Amino acid sequence: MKKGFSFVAWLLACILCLTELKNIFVPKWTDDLAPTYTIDGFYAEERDSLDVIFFGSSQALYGFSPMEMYENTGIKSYVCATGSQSIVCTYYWIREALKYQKPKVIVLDTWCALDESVLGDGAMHCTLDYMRFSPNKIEAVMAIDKIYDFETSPSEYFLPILKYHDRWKELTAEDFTYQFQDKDFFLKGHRVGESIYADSKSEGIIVEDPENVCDMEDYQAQYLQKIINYCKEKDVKLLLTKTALPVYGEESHNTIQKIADENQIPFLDYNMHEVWADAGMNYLTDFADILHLNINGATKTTSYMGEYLLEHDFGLSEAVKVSEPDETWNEDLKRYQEYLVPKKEQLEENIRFWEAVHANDEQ
Amino acid sequence: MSLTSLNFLVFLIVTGICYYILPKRTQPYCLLVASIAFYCMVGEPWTFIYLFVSIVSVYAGTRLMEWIRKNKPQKQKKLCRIVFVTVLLCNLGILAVLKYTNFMIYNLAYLVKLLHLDISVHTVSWAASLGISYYTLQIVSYLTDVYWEVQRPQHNFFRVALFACFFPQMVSGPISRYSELGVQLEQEHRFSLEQVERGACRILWGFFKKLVISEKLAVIVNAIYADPVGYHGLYIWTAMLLFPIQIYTDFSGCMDIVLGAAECFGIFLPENFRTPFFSRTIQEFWQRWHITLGLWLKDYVMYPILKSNHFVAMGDKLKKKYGRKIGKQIPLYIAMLVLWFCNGIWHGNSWKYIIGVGLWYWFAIIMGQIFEPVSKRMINILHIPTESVVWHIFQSVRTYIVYGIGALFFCATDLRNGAFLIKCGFLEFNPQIFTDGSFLQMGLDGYDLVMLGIMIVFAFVISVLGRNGYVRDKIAAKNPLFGGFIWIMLLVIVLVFGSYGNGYNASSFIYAKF
Repeated sequence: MKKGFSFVAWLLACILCLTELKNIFVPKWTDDLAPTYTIDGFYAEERDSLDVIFFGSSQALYGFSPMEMYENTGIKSYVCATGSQSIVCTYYWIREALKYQKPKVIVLDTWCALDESVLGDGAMHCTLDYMRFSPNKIEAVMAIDKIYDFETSPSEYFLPILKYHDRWKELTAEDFTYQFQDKDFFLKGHRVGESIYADSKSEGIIVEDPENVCDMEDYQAQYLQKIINYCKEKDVKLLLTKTALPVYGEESHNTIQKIADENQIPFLDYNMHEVWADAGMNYLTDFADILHLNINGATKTTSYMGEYLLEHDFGLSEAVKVSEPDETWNEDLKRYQEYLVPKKEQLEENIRFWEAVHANDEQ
Repeated sequence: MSLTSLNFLVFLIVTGICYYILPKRTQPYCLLVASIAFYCMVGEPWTFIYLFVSIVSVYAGTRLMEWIRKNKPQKQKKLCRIVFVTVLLCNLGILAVLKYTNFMIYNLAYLVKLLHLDISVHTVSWAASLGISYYTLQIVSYLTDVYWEVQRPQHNFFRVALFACFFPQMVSGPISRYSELGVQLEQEHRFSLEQVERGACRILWGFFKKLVISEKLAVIVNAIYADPVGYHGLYIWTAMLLFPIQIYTDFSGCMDIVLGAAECFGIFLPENFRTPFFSRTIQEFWQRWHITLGLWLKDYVMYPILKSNHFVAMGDKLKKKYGRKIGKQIPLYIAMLVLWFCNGIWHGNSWKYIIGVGLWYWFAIIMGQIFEPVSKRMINILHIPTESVVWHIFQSVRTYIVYGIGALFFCATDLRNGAFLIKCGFLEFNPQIFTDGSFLQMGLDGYDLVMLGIMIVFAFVISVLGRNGYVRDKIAAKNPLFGGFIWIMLLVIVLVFGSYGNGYNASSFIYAKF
């Protein structure tokens, strides 16, 4: 009996030890409030408090600003997206998110359904390392192990020390203190782009041939369908979207539009000329780089999305009307506005620089 | 699935659960199934046929000898010898054909070339059975013991099969005897938490030696031996001095895992290492290094040769002609030569093993024995206190260097490369490499080297403490909290400082900022 007790104590100590090693050794991708904050911040949100959750890859996290949306419409949202997120991970993240929240709408940026350029296992780790241990995590790891040809062993996701033990030489104070920090992250998953990319002259596209579609990988089509089915099963409205891109082809739009039509779900594509114009997108001022929006682009995209959600039948207008002002969100809004001031100044400076470069080029 | 992989641990746990949950009389069968599964997961499943043939031949041979002894007592000696030799040749034949065919082809081709004949050489690429060098010796020892009538034949085929392929020891030994292992495998084993804990602790210690020390040292040693021209002079001698530690922590670490794994099933395998670096002579060293192989070669190669009629007759002749000492020494040295040749060739099908891991040590031992009177006289003249610690350290260092020189050939690609490595060691005297940061260019940075040094010292201290009994017993005798703390710390050290997995490459996470 005594021996059994000491064995259990030993086992518990081992588990505690492994958990602590995980907390210390998993990299803290906190530079400019990147994935670590996004995921931990999501778990820190009050249960069932969100109206809308955004999913997708980096284009979603650059494109949608929940604080902007809260300020404009009162809708509480969160961007549960991570860089180069695979649609496989997105599916399991949706499942995980719905364990903690009952949103009225899920907005999915469809880049992850078309893009194949998953940059190694690093993106997978960024997406899954901070997901809590659960059947969703197990299934996600098994699924990506089956689909992708990475060298990473599934065990490295469950025992991250196996992956990150080499970091012992580069540990910083943050690695030890992060676990004790407050996890209320005011950007709510959004990432602010302050740079400028003005090399394209896009003004959106007009579809000429609706039959011009691109090939999706089998697993991408399969997981997009899984997401659609899961949202139906959970009675959560799904809105497919695509943030504006400086370079975008009609085949991408047509492919998703076809799936949306088949499943009778809306698809809001900011790259369509009329949406581009309505949202007020400007190729000279709204892009951070060739794939991502900056503060200006995110503000316009979010503002348009807010109006779209309220105007259409997503059941949000009622919810927003009855909700009372939330002190925590109001405080976060203030922090967000303060955070944005230097970023906006930086962006203005970058725009001025680009304008000067363009002026020189024209001369 | 290597012994240091997570998969092996999972396999061990699953097997352990089945082993203790199933009825006790089925335990050997559970281990047999696990062993076959292990074989199929680690090796080429189809090569199991070789192992199967060995088991069947030895089982049939031993049963036939038993039958002959019972039913043909008047002809038993002759018939048993025929059966024994046939089965022995069958097993050694499989080993020789699978492992040494290319070696024989190369040597024959070389001889033919000496005769200035032009022939084209074709080598073969036959997959050897997993652990063939180990299980062949093990099963041959059982066959021989039955032939010598020191072991009763086992009637249950599956138990002989389990003795031959018990999975923890399949890949790297130790080479057990039926009287040690077979008997334990026949017994029923009750679950004992204490025993499993002891086994787990030993596995952890094995992981420490292998992953924290050996794998790190391998980075330096491999880098130097891969480019002896670039890394010449003192680099070579440094690698030569580090390699014994590397191979010791590698092999003895594996043994700790093997013995610990077996202990979890209530089975105690023979020790293969007993602090060899504390040995005063190379002879003592080999009595404490790969012990089971050394004992096997003594019992089944050297002693039978010495006891053979030819050798006894030769000894008598020499005694009459040259005196008692020579008459005793010459047959012994010849038998030892055969033993060391076998030791060398067992390690691999190359002359580098025969010379480096075989004949070199034979030479060192013989020289030690021949010059022993001279050395004793020198000690008396110089009044050296032979029981002092300093003298012991001197002898151990000397033994270490003698071993290191032979082990250098173990690392070399072939005999010629081994000689070239030694030559490169004399190209330049370059002590500046220890101070100008050159050692930081070989794959380990300053942090790694400092940590490696600390860990080697730690392992050395544990070895010193473990000279008079197991350290884990000493830890267990203390406060359980203290024991738990020690083992958890060791677990943390292995997890953090061990070399395993794909590692963390910050560049693959570059996209985290997007």
